[in-house]
Amino acid sequence: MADIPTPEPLGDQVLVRVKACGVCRTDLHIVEGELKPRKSPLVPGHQVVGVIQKMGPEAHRFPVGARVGIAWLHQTDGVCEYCSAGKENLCPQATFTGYTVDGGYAEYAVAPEAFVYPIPESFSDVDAAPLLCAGIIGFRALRLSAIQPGGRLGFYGFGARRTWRYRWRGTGVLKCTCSRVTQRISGSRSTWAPSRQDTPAVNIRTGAETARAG
Amino acid sequence: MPVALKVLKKGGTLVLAGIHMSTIPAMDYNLLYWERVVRSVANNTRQDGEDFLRVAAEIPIRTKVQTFPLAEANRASTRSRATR
Repeated sequence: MADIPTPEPLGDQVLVRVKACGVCRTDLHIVEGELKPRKSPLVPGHQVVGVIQKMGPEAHRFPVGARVGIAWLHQTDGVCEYCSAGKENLCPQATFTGYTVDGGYAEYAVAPEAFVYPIPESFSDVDAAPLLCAGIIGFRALRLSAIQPGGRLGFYGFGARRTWRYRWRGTGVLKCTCSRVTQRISGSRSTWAPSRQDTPAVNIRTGAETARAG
Repeated sequence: MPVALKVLKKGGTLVLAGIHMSTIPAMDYNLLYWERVVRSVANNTRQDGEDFLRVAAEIPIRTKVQTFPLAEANRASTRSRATR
């Protein structure tokens, strides 16, 4: 823990008073050096929920007091070939919350107003936090899987997503883990805990893998 | 990855959603043949986030969380590591 100055929102940034911040596996990859260090010292954390306390001179999207979330994608250049093609996630100039810029393991965080999300009222602060990475990235993985109604989806090494009960457009779900702990946490129903040599009784149409082991 | 490919149907897709992964072991080409697709996920777009939060509220998704004071962030991380 360290005392650092409260960041000042510049330009179109908003200053967010942090109410909750999720702990993600990526935070561990960063602090343990498995991902190349991009900033030091660094405030980790990229699943940030809080309220806007102050706005930069060019920020007008939200009122002070609005509840918002700050996620992994902190900012992109908006003009590169990827951004122009709707693939801002691939922007070579992108900055990332809690990795290339300070994140939410703090009392305050700043982010461009265009890159923060209104949080649905139905979620508490702490319930909303894990949605901002485990949820969003899981959702993108689901989209990229192109799963169709009636398809069967397998999950491997689902990390922070482990306790979720997936149902999506009538798809069948098979959760696969080599970890007995994860199996217990996620519930035994429809969970398959194999050794590397085992095969399940059913084949799957698509798989979503967040396991760290290749 | 070979474990997942082993049970993937013809034409199926395997999505790798982690930002960091150990080296993928050498494997038999037959695991990939039959037009199986392997693809990674890199970050997200804002559209992903907006769409997901809307869907999450509609379903609604219920999260289970364990909370720690900010001063115990290191313990929270340690706890997360222990459940790998």
